Amino acid sequence: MITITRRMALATIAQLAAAASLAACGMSSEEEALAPDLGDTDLETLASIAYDIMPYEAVRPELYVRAAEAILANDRALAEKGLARLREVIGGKRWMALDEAEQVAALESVQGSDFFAYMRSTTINTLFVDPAVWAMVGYGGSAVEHGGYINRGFDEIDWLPAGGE
Amino acid sequence: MPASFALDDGSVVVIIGSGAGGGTLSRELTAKGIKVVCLEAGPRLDISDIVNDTGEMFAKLTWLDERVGVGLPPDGQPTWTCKTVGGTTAHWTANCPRLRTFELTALSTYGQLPDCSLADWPVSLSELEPWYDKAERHLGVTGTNGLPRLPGSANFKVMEAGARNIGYTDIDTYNMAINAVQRDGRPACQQMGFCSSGCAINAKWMGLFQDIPVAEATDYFDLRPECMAIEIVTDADGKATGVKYLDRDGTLHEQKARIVCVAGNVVETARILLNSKTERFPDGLANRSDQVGRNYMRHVMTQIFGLMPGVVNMFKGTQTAGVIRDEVKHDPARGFSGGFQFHLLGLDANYIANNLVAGGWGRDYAALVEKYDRLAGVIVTGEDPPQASNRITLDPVRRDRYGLPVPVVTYRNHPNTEAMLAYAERRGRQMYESLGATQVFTIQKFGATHNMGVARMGDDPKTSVTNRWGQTHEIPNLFVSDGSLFPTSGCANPTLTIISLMMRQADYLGQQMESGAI
Repeated sequence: MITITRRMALATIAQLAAAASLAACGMSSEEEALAPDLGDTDLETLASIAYDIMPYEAVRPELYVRAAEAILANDRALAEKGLARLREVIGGKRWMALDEAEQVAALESVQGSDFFAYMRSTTINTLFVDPAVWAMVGYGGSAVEHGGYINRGFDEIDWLPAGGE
Repeated sequence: MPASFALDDGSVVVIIGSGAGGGTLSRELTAKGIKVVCLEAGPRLDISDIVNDTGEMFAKLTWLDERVGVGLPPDGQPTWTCKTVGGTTAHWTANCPRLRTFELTALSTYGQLPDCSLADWPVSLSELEPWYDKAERHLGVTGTNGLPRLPGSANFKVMEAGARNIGYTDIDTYNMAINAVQRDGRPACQQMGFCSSGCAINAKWMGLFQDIPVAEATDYFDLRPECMAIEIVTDADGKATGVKYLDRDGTLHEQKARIVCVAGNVVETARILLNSKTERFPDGLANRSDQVGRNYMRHVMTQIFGLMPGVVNMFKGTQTAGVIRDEVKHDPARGFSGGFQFHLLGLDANYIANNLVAGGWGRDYAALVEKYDRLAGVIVTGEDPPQASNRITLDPVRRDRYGLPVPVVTYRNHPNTEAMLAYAERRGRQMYESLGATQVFTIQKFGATHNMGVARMGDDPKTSVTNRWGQTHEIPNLFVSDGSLFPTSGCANPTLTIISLMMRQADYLGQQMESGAI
């Protein structure tokens, strides 16, 4: 089941990345249908990697694409260098065609690199500023407009053993 | 009314920095009718600029100019200090413990440690006490002067229950410069969290809204935000005559001065002293002892998070309102010198996702971060023994956007520190495991918020930079006015001591000016 949802998430990521790439080069999807298939785009590969770094089925796939866009916008050279290294690791295969275990194994081989550290921090910093992600992990976000937590359970806890005061 | 003094008015005191050190000094001196020009590198924010968003406030408040970290501190951000009017009182979490006698007499109490430069403070606790009293009244510190303490959050209750399980007893919601009740024109704390982002309701004491307006109301205060001091000017007699600075447009000015006080929060204090070289002072100002920049201390710190059996929601509530004081003592039987405190720590989800496990990623890590609401947190703050090799230096090549040499922060843990960390982490782990924590995490690598040392005070000019008042031994009208003065760090959060020392320094400065000594 997990594999299927993961595949669905990655398929959505690929579609969104393709749409974003087309928009970036001013092509419509009709024009794109006539263009030759050049394999995975950097954007969809990076978005897929972002997903493998912090995989949440409940997170909107466009956040992973947004992380990939941020990486390309902020340090394209580092991204291209990292992708080139990954392509060496997987030898001729298409990244998007790999299964989860193969992708994770490839990423493990580069996890000490600057590229990976940058991918990781950008992915986390894109996901964890999103209120939906905050809600998923139970973080409340801005509290001032709600009068803080003084009347909203700042001291509530239901599992501590009784004792003391 | 805010004053405006002429650049060639050599009768003013120039204070570099407007934080806990410079802000306090500004308020105290202007209250005596002394003219002050305060140069602050950062902008002046308004209460409406303060929002509950850690990322946005980090960008607004933090000193982000290039700094190099060598050793433990993260490169690029070896320190987490502020660049804004009010300085680090914008992001401090307002914990106000006092130093104790064993800490002020570290050398006598512990004996010298290998490769360390432990010293006794030239000021005793009984000398400091009236100033601590005054500072606590000024800040409205909870648990002092009859002021009630803050209520404890769920995160606090977990800490307290675990601490009692392992035998600790000296536990409460701490002495905080955060109103538990409405006071001094400021409201009571609403347990929002976000203390380190600046308090959006002004329940936390911040110099920006307290000392700065009071100083401005005197007619003696000329605050110049976004003005970066780059050099202290001295004359042929070796006296300070003024300060060169760049305004927000990058235009160079020189403000003449009767007295110069440096309050740049350690890194900038060391940098401007080292960078103000002249023929007479070839190694920088007040540095004949070669002590400027040395003995940099940042407290022994480790964050400890327990993954608890139920929901804690550590983000709900005052971030650090809780303390365990049982380990604040010198007890060599523990295998190290000096003491440490545990204090409460609640942090946001983005920080946890980035840092809970260094470099963590993948399915298991994502699932762990999803349990954010079950984390409880404390931070260890321990005495950091001064080492001459832990220091601030200037990069020989790199220049920042002001054209200044980039500061290099070199810091490595002493074996005493490693022993203290191992002990404290073991106790922290026991504390959370006693309540059924399934995993316990520690985080050590983060930018230093407590910066101390680098211009230590002392009675001997050969081994210290300033006298017991913060007046440099070499240049009588040049003062160091921040945590740089600390000969040792103790384990108390430094701000209350900085504010107390600056109230005391202001008193001395006033007397010296009145008598014409400087």
